[in-house]
Amino acid sequence: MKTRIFVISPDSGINSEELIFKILGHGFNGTVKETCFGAMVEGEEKEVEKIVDFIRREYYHEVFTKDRGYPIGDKRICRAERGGGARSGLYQIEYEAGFLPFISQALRDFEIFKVKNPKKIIVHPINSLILADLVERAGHYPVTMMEKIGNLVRNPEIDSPPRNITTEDVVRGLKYASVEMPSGIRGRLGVWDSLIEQAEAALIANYDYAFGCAGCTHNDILIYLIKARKIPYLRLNLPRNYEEGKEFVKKIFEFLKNVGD
Amino acid sequence: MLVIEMVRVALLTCGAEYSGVYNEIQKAAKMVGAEIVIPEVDFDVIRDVEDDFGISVKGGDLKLMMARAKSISEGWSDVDAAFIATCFRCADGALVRNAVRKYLQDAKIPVVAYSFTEKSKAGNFLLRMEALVNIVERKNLLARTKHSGLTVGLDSGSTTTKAVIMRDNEIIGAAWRHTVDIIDTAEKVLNEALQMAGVKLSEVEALGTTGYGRFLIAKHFNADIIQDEITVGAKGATFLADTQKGDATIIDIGGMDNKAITVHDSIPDTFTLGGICAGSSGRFLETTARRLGVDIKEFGEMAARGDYRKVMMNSYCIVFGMQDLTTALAAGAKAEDVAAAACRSVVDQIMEQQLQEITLRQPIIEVGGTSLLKGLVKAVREALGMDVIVPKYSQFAVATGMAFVASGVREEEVYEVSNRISR
Repeated sequence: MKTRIFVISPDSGINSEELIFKILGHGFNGTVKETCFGAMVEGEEKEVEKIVDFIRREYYHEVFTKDRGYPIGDKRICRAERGGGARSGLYQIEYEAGFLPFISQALRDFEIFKVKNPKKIIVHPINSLILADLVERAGHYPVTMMEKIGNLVRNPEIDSPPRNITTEDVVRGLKYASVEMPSGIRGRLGVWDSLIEQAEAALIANYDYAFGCAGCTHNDILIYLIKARKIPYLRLNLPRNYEEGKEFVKKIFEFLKNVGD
Repeated sequence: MLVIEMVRVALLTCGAEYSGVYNEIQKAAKMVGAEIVIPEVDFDVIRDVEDDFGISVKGGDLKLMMARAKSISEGWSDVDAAFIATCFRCADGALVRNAVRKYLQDAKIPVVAYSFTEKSKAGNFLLRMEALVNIVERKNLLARTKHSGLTVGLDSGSTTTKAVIMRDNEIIGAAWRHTVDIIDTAEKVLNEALQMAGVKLSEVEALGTTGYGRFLIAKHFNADIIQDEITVGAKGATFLADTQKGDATIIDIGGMDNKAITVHDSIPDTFTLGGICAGSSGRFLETTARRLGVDIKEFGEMAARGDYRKVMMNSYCIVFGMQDLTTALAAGAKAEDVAAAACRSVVDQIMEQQLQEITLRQPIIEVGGTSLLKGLVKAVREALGMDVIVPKYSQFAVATGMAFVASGVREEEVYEVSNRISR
């Protein structure tokens, strides 16, 4: 099973309802949920991949997408079960949504392409919608936390809600940071471990706000670890206007093409 | 049918979900009948919150913590108390944790702050959560300023067990013993206190139990009330020091852990509970006294005469700190100075690791068995630069508070919070 979120660029003319009609109209055989930022879908992996391809074709410039760790309606992060408050990941989406219009506009200036030799590209922040989406558009495989969290929270043998990160993960994090570092970053590092190992290149963006899986104050240790692996990487700032958006997308696509061809 | 409302405790944390301890906090909350609540907040508040607090940190989850605190303070979220938890050894986390604690205290929200490691379990959170919930649910009991009736307070502590008998606002019996077998020791001190008071157990109107062994002895004595030692200790201290109204800070250096509690009108608004290092507990003083060949009371007198500055200590540790003291003795240091250095070492560690988690408010009241050690009280006074009140019966503060609070449950049919844990 796979869960996926779709985020509509705020400047787009389409709305959540229209997006959902489109998904259902395409015969998606799974669960669809309307959200304040777009929609979520859940189903068999191939079904979900098909609908992602379809939505990208239909709304190439306006809709952005990434994996979601938690199944739809998971009580562990449900507002009703938490006394009203949103999970921290929601704020990450809200923050990133503010940049989507710049990227959405920029995408119109570039031809759609897929690289010949797709690679595993780790992104920083590791839960970034923008970076994971652009990596995938270019035909690469984004290496993100969402897939790992998905595996953890769907593992019935672990009972450490809400993320099923346990002491064992924190101990595994000692591979990268000593006990002098807080347990919160070591727990993340324990989960990132296999992601860092498998990455063949990296996209790093400087975010003013990152939350949840990337919400630790020591989060930038991932940049150090990426550099230590001596894999190709690109580091850049998020765009603040349409011009910067164009430059942002251009640099990323150039980098992804170089890595993949 | 009795409907019990859950106490809504806001969890403000960064790192708990990634340290594997989030569920442990939830377990502790459930055990005391609390509901963990995550305050709702808009992203715009997160954007502005660093300016509001005057703190700039890199981590988004720490910014979110401050924003959620603002949500509580502004009344956007309906909560009764707050539990603040950040990772141990995180400087940014400590900064925000302390700022958020002060912020919520100003907003009159009962709050406790804690720094966890991946090894923290529900047991570490339980007493803190229990006290937090008792502050909310037992506010009326704690706010009473006059005791009435004939009641007993039994404090089954880690090192000593104490019993206090109160009749109409007066202590009429008190006894203590070193804790050996929990029930046997409690029976003995209770009988001694009853004998001193000249009353029989059958005449007692309400009996309350507190301390480490509170659940076990509650069952044995069929207690009317079980309550954590933090809330009743605070009540006992303000009663004994005659400071039941207004602000105060209570310091209790115990045999195995320490408590520092700030109160307003006898109701704690924040507290900190030590207990990781023996070097900051009464146990360190006992060990030093043994090395000096004196009993603990004499040790206190010696320490009051000594000068801690004459003995160099490089470690607070009960092993390595003791090595420093032994080396000093071998080099000809006076026993008085060594005793004073041991007292100062305990106080310095408490200052560094605990008192920075609260905002000291005068008067400072020192209670617990160690408050009888003159040298230790002197060290606290000197380290804080503040006067310290040691009231009569200070070593019985927790048992006294329990006896006092028990008088309030004579009229109440239901007492739920701590009793729930015992079930």
